[in-house]
Amino acid sequence: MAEEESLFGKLPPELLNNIIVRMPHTDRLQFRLVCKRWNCLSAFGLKFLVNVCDETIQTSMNCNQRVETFYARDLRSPLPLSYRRKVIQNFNFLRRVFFGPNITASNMKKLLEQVQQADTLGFSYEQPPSFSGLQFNNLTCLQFQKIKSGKSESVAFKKLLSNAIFPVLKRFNLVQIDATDFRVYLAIHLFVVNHATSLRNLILNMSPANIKNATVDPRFQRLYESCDIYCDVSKRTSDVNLETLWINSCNFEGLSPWNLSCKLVTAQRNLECLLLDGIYFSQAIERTQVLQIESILVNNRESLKRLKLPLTDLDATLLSRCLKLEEFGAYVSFEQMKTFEILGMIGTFRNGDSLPTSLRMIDMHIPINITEVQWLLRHIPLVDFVLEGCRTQFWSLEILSELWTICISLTNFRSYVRMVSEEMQRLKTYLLETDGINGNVEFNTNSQFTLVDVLIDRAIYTG
Amino acid sequence: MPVVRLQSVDGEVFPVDVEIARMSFAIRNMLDDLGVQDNDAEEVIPLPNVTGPILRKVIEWCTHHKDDPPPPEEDDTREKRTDDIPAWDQEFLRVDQAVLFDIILAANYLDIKGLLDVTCKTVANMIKGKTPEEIRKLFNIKNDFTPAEEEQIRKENEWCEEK
Repeated sequence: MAEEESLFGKLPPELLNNIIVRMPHTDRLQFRLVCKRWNCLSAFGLKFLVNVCDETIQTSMNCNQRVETFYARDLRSPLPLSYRRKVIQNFNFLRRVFFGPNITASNMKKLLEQVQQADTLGFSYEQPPSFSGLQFNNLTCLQFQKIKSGKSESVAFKKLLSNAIFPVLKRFNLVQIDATDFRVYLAIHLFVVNHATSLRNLILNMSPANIKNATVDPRFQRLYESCDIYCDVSKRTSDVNLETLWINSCNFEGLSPWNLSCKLVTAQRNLECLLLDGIYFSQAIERTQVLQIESILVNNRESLKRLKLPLTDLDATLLSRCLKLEEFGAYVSFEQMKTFEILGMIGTFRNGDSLPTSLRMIDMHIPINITEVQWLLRHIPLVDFVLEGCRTQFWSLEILSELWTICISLTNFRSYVRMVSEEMQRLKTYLLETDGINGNVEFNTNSQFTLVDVLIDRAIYTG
Repeated sequence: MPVVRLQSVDGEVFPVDVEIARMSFAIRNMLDDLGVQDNDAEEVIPLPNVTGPILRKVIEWCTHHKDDPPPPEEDDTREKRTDDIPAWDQEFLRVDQAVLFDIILAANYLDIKGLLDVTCKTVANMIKGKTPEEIRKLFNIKNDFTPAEEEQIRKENEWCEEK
């Protein structure tokens, strides 16, 4: 027995490691507690996260492992004097840093000084931080959430990016900014002016924005006001070279951010993805916007793969030169949707035969007629087709059946079609008798029309 | 079938088909370095780190698996499976710890990836779900932590990220 003692305790390191790598995460943690030797071997490769608040600040200083993620919140007590030294000593593998709410400005400043090697920096924090005098040479992702911007914060936020240097920033993400006056100085950033920035992704998601000019938006049952949020990129916009631009903001007809962001958009030449969500134009200014969109599409025709636009009237020749385009969506405003419910669909779709055959996904919320739907299904190898604009005509059962036959190859097909009551009854009878659709058909009716909401997944027509 | 003779540390000699012996990359390299051809049946390969009983077990495993396809390259970033040990191997490795330990060392020395994988999986399965105390008891390992050191590791484990 004595000879067998600790045999496995003495297994050579490379063999013990061969066993450790096969252990689930929880077992690896148990493995560490067996003996000192096993601890040394199994701790290597584990990733540690330090989650710091007033209560845990002391214990976090004792973490001697490879810390890659650092999350701080509720740090109201002054950081201990020794914390700086410990952070430098222990956290030199740190890559991702996140700051939650309730951190004093003094603590935030001390922590930011220590994490300048991070490649991801996130703030879910009401007060804009001060980056004054700091340099983040490895930072590729910068994101802000829930920043509230009153008058005093607004001033701080305006200075936010002009005081810091992010030479390799690729992704800049703003989410849920509660602001009345919000500016992102991308292009006038000192470094950007002097050097080409590496920024590739700009994502603005400001749905809960605090907006002026009261308008009730029944979708969210809350008061929205018009928006005074914008990207001020009036200088040197050509220095901001993006691959992705996604702007999601509840605004109406050409108010900022569209007008000002458009300067940013029109400067782009290599966009692969342009998604303009929640931005609506009135018909009065749409013509101007279409000209701008046309220019954007021409500028980025070699690279665009995903495109979503707020358009009531679509001339498909706009897209004809985007030969790599795979996904396209066109939608109308919520106000226009309400008009549709009462008066019928508004807007137009023209020259559908100009759509590029590279398309695989279409999400069309503007009017489209039966012939055009049939043409698209026959001539473009789509896998995903969503239509909300088919309600300009009354459909017969025969036409609907033919549509199902054509869309047999789609992995996803969803469409709203409008039928008169007699046709709807025929459809119901047909479905009962043939059991011929592999998918869902939902019937919704209102006082004026019978609307049939047809949902088909991997449609197989056997009737 | 050409044969090569493998000699264990305790002098026991095992005639083995060359094709089977070459499942060991260490033996394969030795044969290549020595310029041994398939028909040099009298050549003796000494294996100073493997005892006769263990070498017999290794040859038994290789003989059973001689027609297996080469094991795939493993992705280091993915957690490796341990629930795919074939029934024959499970029965083959139903041995006491000392023998299992020696087979692991032999598989490592002889560079037989398939055997090393299946033995390490077996040990991993023995450990899975056990507490540190149960693992120590299983392998007769002494707890050399002080209570303070053990507490420190427990605290650190709370900081650990899920992979």
